Amino acid sequence: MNKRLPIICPSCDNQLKVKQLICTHCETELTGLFSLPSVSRFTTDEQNFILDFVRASGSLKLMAQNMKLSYPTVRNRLDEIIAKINKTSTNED
Amino acid sequence: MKTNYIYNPFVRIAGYEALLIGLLTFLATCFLAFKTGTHFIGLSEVSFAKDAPFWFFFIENLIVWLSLSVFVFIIGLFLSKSRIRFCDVLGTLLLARVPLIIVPCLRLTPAFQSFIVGSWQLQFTNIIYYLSMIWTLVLVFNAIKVSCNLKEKKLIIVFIVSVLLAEVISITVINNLN
Repeated sequence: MNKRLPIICPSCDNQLKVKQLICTHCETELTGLFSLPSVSRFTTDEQNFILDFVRASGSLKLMAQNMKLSYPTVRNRLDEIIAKINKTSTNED
Repeated sequence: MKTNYIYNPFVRIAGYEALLIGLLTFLATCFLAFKTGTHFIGLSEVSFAKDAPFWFFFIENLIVWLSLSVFVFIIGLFLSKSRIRFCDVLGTLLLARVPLIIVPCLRLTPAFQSFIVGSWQLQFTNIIYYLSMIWTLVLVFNAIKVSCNLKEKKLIIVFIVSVLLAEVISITVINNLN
């Protein structure tokens, strides 16, 4: 079973942060306050889309062919992710 | 991504592919319209009258399609945040006209030939006619949604304004052709 990384607090809906990290090899534990990487804020589908986009060298035409979707559908999806990135950046500023 | 391709085939087909498929059905619709005397004066207005050459039916359909495409593209350029392509607007809106092929076919049915007012056969033909018109409008709506990447209010505004403007232009130009 693939466990999803929780990124939103179930109690107050705010962004979660990392407090503790552990090395499963030597069991060293680190405690602090770390921010989650921006990519982790996207859904699994969105993360896969970003990876596919990089794999296709940023070619939406190639992505559309691989995903068997039309060009504007893929472009619209990319624009949604861009809007989400911009919103996240604005919130962080 | 679950999508009903009957109402929104543009998730898979757009651009030049849609243009090619749409063009084939467009020509078939023009030919059937010519054979049955079906005039598409606007997107929602149809009349029946024969004795016109093939090119006249072709030009009628061309005006309705191109006027809508031009208005959708121009308004879309202002309202959409995406970089929209004219070939996507042209292709998806041409593909959206596919259900209109049913309209001239209805003219060939015995119910329409005999035209007995109030008969259930004629009423059934009418229902199919209205369903094909509604189907076309739904496809036009989704074509604008996908090709221009619009949602909610903006999508409704572009749909209503461009359909109305195209309707006015089409009716004016086609009536002047006569």
